[in-house]
Amino acid sequence: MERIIVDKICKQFTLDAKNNSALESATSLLNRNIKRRFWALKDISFKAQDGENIGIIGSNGSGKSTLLRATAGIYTIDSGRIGIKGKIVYLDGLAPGLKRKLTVRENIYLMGSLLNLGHNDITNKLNTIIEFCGVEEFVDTKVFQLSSGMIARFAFSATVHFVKHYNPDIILLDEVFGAGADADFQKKAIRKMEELVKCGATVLLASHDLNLIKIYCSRALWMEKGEILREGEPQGVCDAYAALTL
Amino acid sequence: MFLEHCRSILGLSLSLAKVNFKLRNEGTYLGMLWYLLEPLLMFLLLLYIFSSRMNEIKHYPVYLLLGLIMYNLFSSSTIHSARAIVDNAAFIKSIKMRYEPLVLSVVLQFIFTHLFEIAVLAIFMIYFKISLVGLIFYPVLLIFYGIFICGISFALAAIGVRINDITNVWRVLVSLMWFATPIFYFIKEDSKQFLLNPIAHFILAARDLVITGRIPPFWLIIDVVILSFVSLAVGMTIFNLSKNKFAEFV
Repeated sequence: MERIIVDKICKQFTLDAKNNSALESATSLLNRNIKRRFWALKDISFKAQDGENIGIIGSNGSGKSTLLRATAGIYTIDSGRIGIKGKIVYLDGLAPGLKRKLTVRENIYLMGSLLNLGHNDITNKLNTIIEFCGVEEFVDTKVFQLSSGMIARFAFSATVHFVKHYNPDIILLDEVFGAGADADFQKKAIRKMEELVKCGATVLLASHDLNLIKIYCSRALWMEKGEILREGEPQGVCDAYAALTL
Repeated sequence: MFLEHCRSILGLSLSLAKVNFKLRNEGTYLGMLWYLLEPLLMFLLLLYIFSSRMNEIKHYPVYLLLGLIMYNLFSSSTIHSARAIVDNAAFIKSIKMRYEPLVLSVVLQFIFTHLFEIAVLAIFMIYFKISLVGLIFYPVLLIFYGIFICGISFALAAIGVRINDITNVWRVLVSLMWFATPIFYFIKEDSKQFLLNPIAHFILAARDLVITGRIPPFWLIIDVVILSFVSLAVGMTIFNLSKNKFAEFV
């Protein structure tokens, strides 16, 4: 079954669209032609089957994040069509909405709520999350008092457990593998991510880590300047990308 | 399906409101006490300045405090809502979520504060030997007032995404409206100043209910209901028309 159908989509951004003041708004109305527009996505098409893992690579500004956000429905598209079948989760980095003045426990409840989990579901997951990241004694400590490694641990643990609980059909991951914790936890984290990626959901994974793409994906898309430059088996696509850029 | 959708929006709004409520005075020496101190200090100052009105208006301290806390709810909620979307750019860009809870949570956060203020009002009512029966029915009016505030908040949040200085403009407007609202003075119900000021309708209805303990006149009830739903309809329309582009502008 085709979970994602992306058909000839285009997305244009206006670079100076954000007016910072009423004065700028007024002057921009008089000077409409000074706005710079650029195409972030140009005629992109691909399909993703049920359970397929697709890696997206490309240099900064190539359109990877825009493509994921457009697929998730966060960005509107200017032309083309996106068809989605099933529950979808989009994650850009770990710990969406982390509040440094709240405790680890309070942050876990907040993150769970943002990912659409009910209070009872979060309570049921709380112990598993804490045990996995090994910050039991700091559960009621405010986040700003923790080391960055500890923050990375609990952010990773909470995000992955909540996403698994949500049981999505499609997972869109934008550079979320960079755990930033110690070596032991990195191994644990990679095993957990494997579970998530191999749970049967369709995964679109945008990353600069070519090894991750080669290990977890069955197909890769190489994007540059909003276009798909090459598509195919990950080894070949990653090698071609590496040869040109590294 | 619709009920589940509403429950999900309300659940996230409550969670975010609790967090914002907790963080607002986090790290201050007096913490939660600030929620009571701020309106109380303002009230005592106004009471001192306008002490001459004590003889002109019956139960003037309660009259003044009720007007003051109702206006505070309106001004704080709407001023903070203007940045509700912009200040949550990190959420909006990094996860797929509904945007309504970001605005609703701001209004709910100030409704929590308002409940504290109502508790102080109740103490004053007991002191001045005013029956608390009217206060029991105040939450009904508060629901309509909340709907009215939500409408304005949704509109301001949407406009704030495109025009940053809407917060400053609105802050000035709210200050001007403060003087145009019968908070520390009395105006007649048929005056133009009253008819043109929607907040005055809610405050007058609340005073009828809480201080005099009688049901507000029928025309005032109709005004309150119409104002609430018109505000919500206009606010939601503006919000819904622009929400698809929020992620691109924050």
